Amino acid sequence: MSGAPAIVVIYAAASVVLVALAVRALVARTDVLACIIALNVLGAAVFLLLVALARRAPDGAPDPVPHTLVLTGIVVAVSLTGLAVALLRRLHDETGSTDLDGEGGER
Amino acid sequence: MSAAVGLTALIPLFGACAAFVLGPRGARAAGLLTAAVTTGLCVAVAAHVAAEGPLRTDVGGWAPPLGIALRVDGLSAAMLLMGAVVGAGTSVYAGAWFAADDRPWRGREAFWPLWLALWAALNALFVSADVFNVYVALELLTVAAVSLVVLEGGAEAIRGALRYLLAALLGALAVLLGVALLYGAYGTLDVALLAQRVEPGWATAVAAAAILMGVGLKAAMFPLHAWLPSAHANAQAPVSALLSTLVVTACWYLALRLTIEVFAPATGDGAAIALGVLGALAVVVASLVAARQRSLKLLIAYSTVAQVGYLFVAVPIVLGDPDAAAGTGAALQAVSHALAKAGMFLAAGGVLIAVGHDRMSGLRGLAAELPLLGFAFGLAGVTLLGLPPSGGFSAKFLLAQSAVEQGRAVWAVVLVAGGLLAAGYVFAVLAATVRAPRAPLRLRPVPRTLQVTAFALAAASIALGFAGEAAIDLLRAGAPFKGAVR
Amino acid sequence: MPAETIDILLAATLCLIAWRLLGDRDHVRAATLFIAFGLLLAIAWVRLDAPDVAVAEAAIGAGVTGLLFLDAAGRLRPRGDGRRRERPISGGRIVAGTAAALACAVGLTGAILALPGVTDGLRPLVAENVPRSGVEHPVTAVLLAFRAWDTLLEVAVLLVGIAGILAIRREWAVSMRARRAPDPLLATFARAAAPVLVLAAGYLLWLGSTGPGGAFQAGALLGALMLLLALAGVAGPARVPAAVQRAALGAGTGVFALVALGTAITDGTMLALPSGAAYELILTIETAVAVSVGAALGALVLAARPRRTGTAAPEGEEA
Repeated sequence: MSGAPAIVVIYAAASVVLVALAVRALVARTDVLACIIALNVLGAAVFLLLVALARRAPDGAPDPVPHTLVLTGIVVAVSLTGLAVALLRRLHDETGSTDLDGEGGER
Repeated sequence: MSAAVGLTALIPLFGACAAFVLGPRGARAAGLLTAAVTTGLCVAVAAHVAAEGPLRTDVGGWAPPLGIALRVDGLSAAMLLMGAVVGAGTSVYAGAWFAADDRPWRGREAFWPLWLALWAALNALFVSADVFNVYVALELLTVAAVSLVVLEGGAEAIRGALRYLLAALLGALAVLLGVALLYGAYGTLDVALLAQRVEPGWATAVAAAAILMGVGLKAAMFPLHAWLPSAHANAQAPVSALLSTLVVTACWYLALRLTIEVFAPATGDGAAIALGVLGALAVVVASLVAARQRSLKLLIAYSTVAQVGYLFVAVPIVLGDPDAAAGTGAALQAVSHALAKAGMFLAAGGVLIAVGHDRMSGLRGLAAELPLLGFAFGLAGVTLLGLPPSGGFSAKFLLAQSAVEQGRAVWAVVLVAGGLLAAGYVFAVLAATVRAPRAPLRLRPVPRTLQVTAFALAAASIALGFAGEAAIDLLRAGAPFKGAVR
Repeated sequence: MPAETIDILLAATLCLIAWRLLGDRDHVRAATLFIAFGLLLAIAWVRLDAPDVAVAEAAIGAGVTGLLFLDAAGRLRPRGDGRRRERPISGGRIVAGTAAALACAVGLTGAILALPGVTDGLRPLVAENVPRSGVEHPVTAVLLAFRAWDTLLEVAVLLVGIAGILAIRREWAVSMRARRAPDPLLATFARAAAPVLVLAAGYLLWLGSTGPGGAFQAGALLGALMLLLALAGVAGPARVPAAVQRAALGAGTGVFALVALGTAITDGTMLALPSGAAYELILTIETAVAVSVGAALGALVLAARPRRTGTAAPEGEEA
C-alpha cells in the first residue's frame, strides 16, 4: 500500500485489529449473545476496511461504491442480528437458558 | 428473453412479498401460483439457453463495472432447472403437508413467504455475475433458510437454527471480507472483469481463502459442517428437503464458479485441490457417521454432508478438463443428489406422519404398507450409491473418466470408494423397510400427494441417468468451464 | 499532523472499546459499550468522508442494534438455577482463539499491504454517469440506479428478517404488552414530536437526491418515531391492524419489485428507468422503502418485547 494517505492506513490497521479481536472472542466465548456481539464487531471491522479503501484517491475525494456496499451491509447486519436475538429469546422462553448444549459459538 | 433472467429471481421475490402481506388467507394460494410461474420461467430460460446459447443482461442498462451483470450459461441453467424441479415438487408437497394439521399456528402461512424468498435468493445467486450481489443474495438465503428451520419446531429446532445462523453469519462476513479485498485490489465487483484482472499475490490468495471458507461454511464443507445435521434433522420435512438440496448445492456452485473463473488463474491448482481433499474427507467420515445413526433424519442429514463431499471432490477434476465432460459430471452429480435427497427427506416426512416418530425402527414393514415411500427410498438410494442407470452413476462415471484422463486417478478412486461407503447407510435404510415389523403396524394415513411427490422426485433422479447427452449439450452453452483450460 | 492525530486516537479508542466489550461477561455492560463503539464508528465514517454511512451507522448500527442487545441482555438472565452462567473460559479456547486471531491478522495485513495505495476506484465512472441517473448525489445514484438490484435484495432481507421473527414468535403481526399507564409527559412529547419527525424524515428523504440522505436514513427516523409512540403508550402496534402492519412492512419490497417488473416488461431490461421519469420513480421507490424500513426497524425492537397475552394484567415493565 505504498503512497496511501495516512488516514487510510490508520483505519485499515484498526480494521485488522478489530478482525483479530472479534475472531478471538468468537472462538473463545461460549455464550451465544457474546458471539452475536462479536459477529457484529467483525462486521464493523469489514465495513471499516471498505470505507478506508474508498479514500485512496490522490485528491482525497471518496469512492461512493464502497459507501453503498457498507450501507447495504449495515441494514443486512441489523436484520440478521434481530433474527438471532429473536431466536435466542425463544430458546430462553422454552428452555430457561440460552445453552446450545455445551456448544457455544459458531459450531 | 434476456429480461427473463432477472425475472427468475424477481417473480418469487414479488410472490414472497404478496404471500406475506396477504397473510393467512391468501398465502398458500399466492405461494402455489408463484411456484408454478417460477418453475415455468426457469424451464423456459434453461430451454432457451440449451437451444440458443447463453443469456446476458445488465440490470438497469448499466454495464459493469458500474452496474450489475446477470448471465445464464450452461451451468447456471442446470442449477435453475434443479431449483425448478425440486422447488415445484416440494411446493406441492408442502401444500399438502401444512394442510394436514389444523392446529391454530402451524407455520403454514409463514412457510410460503419464506420459501419464495429462499427461491428468489437461489435464483439470484445462480444468475449473478457480481461478487457483492452474491453476498447480498447469500444473506437473503440465510435469513430465509434459518427462519424456515424454526417453523413450528421445538427447542432442538431452535438450537439447530441458531447454530446455522451463527455459522452462516460468519460465512457471509468472510465472503464480504474477500469481496472487499478483491475490490480493493482490482477496482471492480464484476466476475468477468475480475477474471481478466486477477493476478497472483497475497490479496487474491487471502480473498480466495476468505470467500471459499465463507461459502464452504454455508455448503457444509468438511470440517465446517457441524451445524448441518441438527438443523436439517430438526426442521419440518419440506424444509429439510429444500435446505439439504438447493441451499447447500447453491453454495457449492458458488465455490466452483469462483474457483474456476476468478481464483484459479491466480492461485493455480492449490485452491481446487484443497477443496478436493476436504471433500474426500467428508465422503469418508460422514458416510461412516451416517451409517451409525438411529434417527432417520439425522442419517439423511449426514448423508448430505458426505454427498456434498463428492461435489467438492469434483472441483479439481472440473478445473483440469478442457471440455465440458467433467463439468457435466459435476452438474449431474449436484442435480441428481438434489432430486434423490429431496425424495428421501420428503419420504421421511411421510414416515413421520405414518409412524409418529423418527427412529429407524419405525421403518420396519414400510415397503409393504406404503410402497410408494419404500420405492422413494429405494430409488433415491440407487442414485446416492451411484448405481446404473441413475443420474448418480452417469455423474460419477463422467467424473471418474475425466480424472483418469487427466492423470489424477486418485480422485476416481475416492469417487468409487465413496459409493461403497454410501452402501453402509443406504442399506441400513432399505433393509429396515423390508424387514417385518415386530408388532402389527398401526399407521396413520399419509396423504397421497406426499407419497407421490416424494416418489416422483426420487424417480426423477434415476431418469436423469438417461439424459446424459442432453446434459452435455446444455452444459456446453457459454463455455462455463473455459476458465479450466490452462 | 494534527488531523492524523485525531484519527489515530479514534482508531485506538475503537480498538480499546472493542477489546473491553468483547471480553465482558456482563451483557448489559457489553451492550452499552457496543452503543458507544457504534457512535465512535459513526464519527470515523465522518472522518472518512462518508456522511451517508455515518447517519445509518448511528441510527441503525449503534441505535437499533444496541437496543436489541440491551433488551436481550436484560431479559436473558438464566432462570432459576443461578449457577448456569457462562462456563469459565477455558485456557484451551483462549489459546485457540488467539492463534486464530493472529492467523487472521497476519493474512489480512499481508493482503492489505499488497493492495494499490493510490487509486480512484469507480469514482470517475460514477461521476460520469450520475447526470444520467435521475439524481445528483453519487451515493444515491449507486444505491438506486446503478446497483439498484442489490438494494432491492437488501430491502427484501429486511422484510424476510421480520417475517422470520414473526414466525419465531408464532404470530403474524407485532403485538406488544402495553404499559400499565402511558407516561403523560412522554406521551405529550411524543404527540408533539410526531409531525415534526415525519416532516424531518420527508425532508431527509428528499434531500437524498442532492446530498447525503435518502431512504434508509429517513426510514431510521421514522423507526425512531414509531418506537417513541409505542414506548410512550400513545399508539402501540396493538392499535394497528395486522394487515396494515404487514402492508407497511411489505411496501418497500413490493413497490420496488413492481417497478422492476414494470420496466422488465416494457423495456426488456429490469430496472431500466426511463430517463424522463427516473427521478420521480426513484423518489417513489425511496418513499416506500423509507416507510418499510421505519416499520421494520420499529418491529425489530418491539418484537423483542413480551407478547401481548390477552387481558392478563401486565407486570411492571421497564421502558
